[in-house]
Amino acid sequence: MKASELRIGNYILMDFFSANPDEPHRVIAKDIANIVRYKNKIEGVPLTEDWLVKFGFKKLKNSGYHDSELIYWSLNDFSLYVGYNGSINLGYEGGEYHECEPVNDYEIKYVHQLQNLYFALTGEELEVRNEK
Amino acid sequence: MKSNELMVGNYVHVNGGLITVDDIISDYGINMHHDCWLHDLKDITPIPITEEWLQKFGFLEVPIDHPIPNNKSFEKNALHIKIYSSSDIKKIWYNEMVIDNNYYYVHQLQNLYFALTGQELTIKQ
Repeated sequence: MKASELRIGNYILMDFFSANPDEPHRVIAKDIANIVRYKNKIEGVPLTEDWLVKFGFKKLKNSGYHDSELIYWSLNDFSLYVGYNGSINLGYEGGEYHECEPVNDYEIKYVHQLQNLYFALTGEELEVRNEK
Repeated sequence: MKSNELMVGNYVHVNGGLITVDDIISDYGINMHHDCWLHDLKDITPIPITEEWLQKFGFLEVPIDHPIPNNKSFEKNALHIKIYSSSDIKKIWYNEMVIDNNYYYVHQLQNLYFALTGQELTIKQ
């Protein structure tokens, strides 16, 4: 992973110094220099339903589709389309049935990608609810 | 500026000169490309988005449906930016989605473009 993908506040997995490689680490300013140096020891945290719930997203049925199993996630007018194969893309709510459609084919695979997309589009940080 | 707004590779001004963010050392200072000095965040100013910057990034001017003198529209990979001559407001939309957040600065545009496409927005050589 390149340091240019990351911003202060992002959650990543890192395997150097005292970091536990299995525990998500929240990037602080002084990490960036080390991330530049140890870029091969950095991985993204896979984006899962648990993370979406922690960030406060609500799971909604994607109306307008015949497949009743199709859902999308929403938080403050920011939507995430979930494809048939479970892939997640930025979503756009519109159309006759106010269904959620993917905005593009760029898949959001990692937590830091979602954090940066949300910040870029809303100017607000995604915060984990009730984080200890 | 706040340090959490910046990413490595962002363009900003320091004392009027163009600099690329190379490293973020602390919540108060950043290192810059080809420059061993630590710059205090309070000395760093964001760069306003202009037509010239859009062209440097490879945006192409596209026709406007109802042209108004000096209003211009630019596009790159489905990211559209309309610049209004009468104000600093820039309307931005991506494919069919209008983006409501206020974008005034180059580093914001760089980070938006990367977040949407996974591609870095850099100056065309």
